[in-house]
Amino acid sequence: MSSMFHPSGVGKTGETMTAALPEELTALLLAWSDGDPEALQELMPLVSNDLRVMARRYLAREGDRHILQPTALVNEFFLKVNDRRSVQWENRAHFFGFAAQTMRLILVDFARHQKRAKRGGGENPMMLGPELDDLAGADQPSRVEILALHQALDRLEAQDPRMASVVKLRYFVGMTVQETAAALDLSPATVKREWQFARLWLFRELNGDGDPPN
Amino acid sequence: MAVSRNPPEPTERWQRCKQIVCSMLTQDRETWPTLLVKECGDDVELFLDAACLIRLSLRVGDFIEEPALRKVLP
Repeated sequence: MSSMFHPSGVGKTGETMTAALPEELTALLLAWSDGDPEALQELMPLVSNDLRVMARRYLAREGDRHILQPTALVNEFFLKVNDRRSVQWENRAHFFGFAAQTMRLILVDFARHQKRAKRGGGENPMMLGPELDDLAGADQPSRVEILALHQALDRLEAQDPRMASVVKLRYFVGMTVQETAAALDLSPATVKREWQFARLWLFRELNGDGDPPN
Repeated sequence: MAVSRNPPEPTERWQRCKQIVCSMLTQDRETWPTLLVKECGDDVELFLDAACLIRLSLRVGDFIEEPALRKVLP
């Protein structure tokens, strides 16, 4: 994975990788995990830039947006920041839980920036790519969906933390059922059931149809 | 990130609703009304919850099936 990062910091597509070094990213991740909210503010632009460049490289090689595997990007990024092994992961679930939470917050923050910018808040949106202005297009999922889902996911987590973990890994990291099962040490059949129910429950939450079971 | 060492257990009602809905999804639609009545008994609240969710399975489509990251990357 790390071989994809050119030693000079300039990718094959000519784009400059983030100025952040792996140790800087790791330090910010550690600070954030220790409860420093400002670390996340510093972290997000660095992470999003990395992801954007990695995605473009991937697409330059493969040429097909539809085979872009978010999981591969997330794995690559976290291997990079974990290169110094200064973050002690308890197990696979801990590692992927952290990855999912990071991706979720990055995407939610991105959606919030976009929303504020659209309202004319005078704030430059954090850009992940030049096509982002098309996000609200007819065939594109709305940024509102990400924000609403984020809030509904908090409610789901209060009801069923394991189910929420499945959603985070499936939706925010892009894992398959099999990958999610391996990451959470569950059977694929269990993950499939949790995912089925979560989708229905979240769909209802977002459409305001009925109260959650309690 | 705050990681809870002892996350709350889902309630019995929640687990029961999940069990019923997931079980129904493996059965033919024609059997759903009978199964709902059988599984929920006289628990009206459980019946309404499960009925609502199972009904939504007909129009949930590919909701959140595409990973979020794929939406925002170029």
